[in-house]
Parts: sequence; structure tokens; C-alpha cells
Amino acid sequence: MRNTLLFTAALAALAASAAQAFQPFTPQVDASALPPAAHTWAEPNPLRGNPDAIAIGRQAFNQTCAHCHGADANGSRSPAPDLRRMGLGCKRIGDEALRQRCLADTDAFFIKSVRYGKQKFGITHMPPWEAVLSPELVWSLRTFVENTPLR
Amino acid sequence: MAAHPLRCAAVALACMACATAPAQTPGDAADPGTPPSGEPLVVNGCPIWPYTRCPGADLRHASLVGKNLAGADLRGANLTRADLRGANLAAANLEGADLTGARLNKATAANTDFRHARIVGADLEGARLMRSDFSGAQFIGSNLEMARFNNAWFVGTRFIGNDLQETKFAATNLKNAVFEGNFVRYTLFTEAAMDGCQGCQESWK
Repeated sequence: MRNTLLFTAALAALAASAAQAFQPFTPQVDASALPPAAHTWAEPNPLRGNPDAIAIGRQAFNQTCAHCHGADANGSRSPAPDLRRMGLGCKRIGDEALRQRCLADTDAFFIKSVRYGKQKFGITHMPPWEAVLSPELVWSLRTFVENTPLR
Repeated sequence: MAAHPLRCAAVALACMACATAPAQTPGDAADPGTPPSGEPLVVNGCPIWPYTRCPGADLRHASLVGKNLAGADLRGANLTRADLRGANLAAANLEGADLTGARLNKATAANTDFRHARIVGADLEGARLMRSDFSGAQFIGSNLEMARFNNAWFVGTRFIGNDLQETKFAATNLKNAVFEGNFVRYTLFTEAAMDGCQGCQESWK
């Protein structure tokens, strides 16, 4: 019993230190190519399909998110969820209005997760990024992730 | 005699055709949960897909068997008698939702927010509810047999007259929880925190 407790405590400490050791920071990318209209937290993604956003998002992703979510968004062997799967089902919806609503729902969840991070029962699983990432940079991250195929 | 194997093969093929025929015509009344066009199900204006935002939605009696509602915003939703067997509610928000008579057998609702939810006469047999937050919620007359609540929080949660046979409460937070008249055969409370718990037994520790 004591061994289990010790092991659990060690695991929790490890997980906590991994999350705490990784402090949010601003990635070094040139985001000047992004339109000023993208400076908003409101969904839907204002940069959807923008090729500049995909390139900038990839650079930013590999500096800030790849640590937990995998290089080039390949989360198949990463501790954090594979973000390429987010909103995959939306793309199959034939009805235009429904598809846009589905994508907006996914955008809202993505933005909320990045801005406020993931805290549960006093444990920070992901830090909040609102203070260090501009909205247009977060939207370019989303644009990169949703344009990266699963393989 | 030589015709026998051939006849058998023909019969087998015919049977396979019978079995696959309904699958080739989507839109048949076989599954009421799937709209005819193969488009996503929309119940009372609430689309059923991951991350859907339907706070306060009216999902009474909805057939949501096996649906993926991961990360859904269902705060205060009315899920009375909803059928969520095998559904995915991981990381969803069901704060203050009404789950009276709902069926959640074998559902996945790990890391889900169930704070102040009403779980009355519901069936959660074999559900996966690890790391979820049930603080302030109430379980009354529900079947929680084999449900896995490992690492979940139950601060001030009320358990009245439930079937807790083989229910897993390992490493849960039962602070100020209330247990009354539950069936607790083979229920596991390993490493649960029980400070201020009313009705928690010494033998559970």
C-alpha cells in the first residue's frame, strides 16, 4: 500500500513538474503577413485556409506546442492529445451551415483550451497561453493543425 | 453428393447478401439515431457532435447511443431519460444537468464536469467516469454497478439508495459527501479521502 502511495505521489510530482517546468513563452515568428482582421478571439477561425497562416502556425507550433503535442502536430506518440483529430468529423458534413457551425464549435474549444489552459483539481495539465500568444497567432496554430493530415 | 459444398456456398453467399443489404441503404429506419442523409443528428436545435455548444438543451428522451459528445457544453441540459449508452462525454461540461432516468451504461465520461448534476434513477452500470467532478451532485436510486470513479471528486455529493456493487471509488475525494442506504457489496474505496463524510464506514478505509 505504501509503495503504491509513494509511486502515485512520485508520478503526480513528475507530471506536475513537467507541466510547471514548461512555462508559456512567445514564439519567435514573423507574423506580419497575417491580416489585422484576425486580431480577435471570436470564432470561426478568421484565418481558415490562409497559406501564410499555415506556414506561420507551423513555426509557432514547433516552438511552443510541440513539446507536449508532438513535432509538426504529430501527436501519435505524445503525452498530450493529438490535435489533428479535432473537428475531423466536421469536414464530412454536407450541409454548409451545419459544417460551419461544427467547425466554429471546434474553434471555440480550441481557443478556450489555449487561452485558459487545462487545470483540474489544482493540477495544471496545460498552462494558459492568453498572456503570451496573440489571437492571430493562436488562429494560425489552429489553421496549421487543421491542415495537417493524420499521416 | 458433389453438389453439396456448392449449395452450401451459395446459401452462405445469399445469407451474407441478406446481412449486408441494410447497410448499403443508409436512411432505412434501422437506426433511429441516424438521420436519413447520413448528416449529423440534431435534437431540438442541438447538433450531436464533439465540442457542440448546447447549454440548457432539451435532450429529453433523445437516443444518443454511442454518440461522440467529447468536450460538449451541456451545462444545465435536460437529459431526462436520454439514452447515452456507450456514448463519449469525455471532458464535456454537464454542470447542473438533469440526468433523471438517463441510461449511461458503459459510457465514457472521464474528466467530465458533473458538478451539481441530478442523477436520479439513472443507469451508469460499467461507465468510465475517472477524474470527473461530481461535487455538489446527487445520486439517488441509481445503478452504479461496476462504474469506475477513480480519482473523481465528490465534495458534498449525496449518495442515497444507490446500487454500488463493485463500484470503484479508488483515490476519490469524498469530503463532506453523504452516504445513506446504498448497497455496498464489493465496493472499493482504496485511498479515498473521507474527511467530513457522513455515512462513510470505518470498514471502507
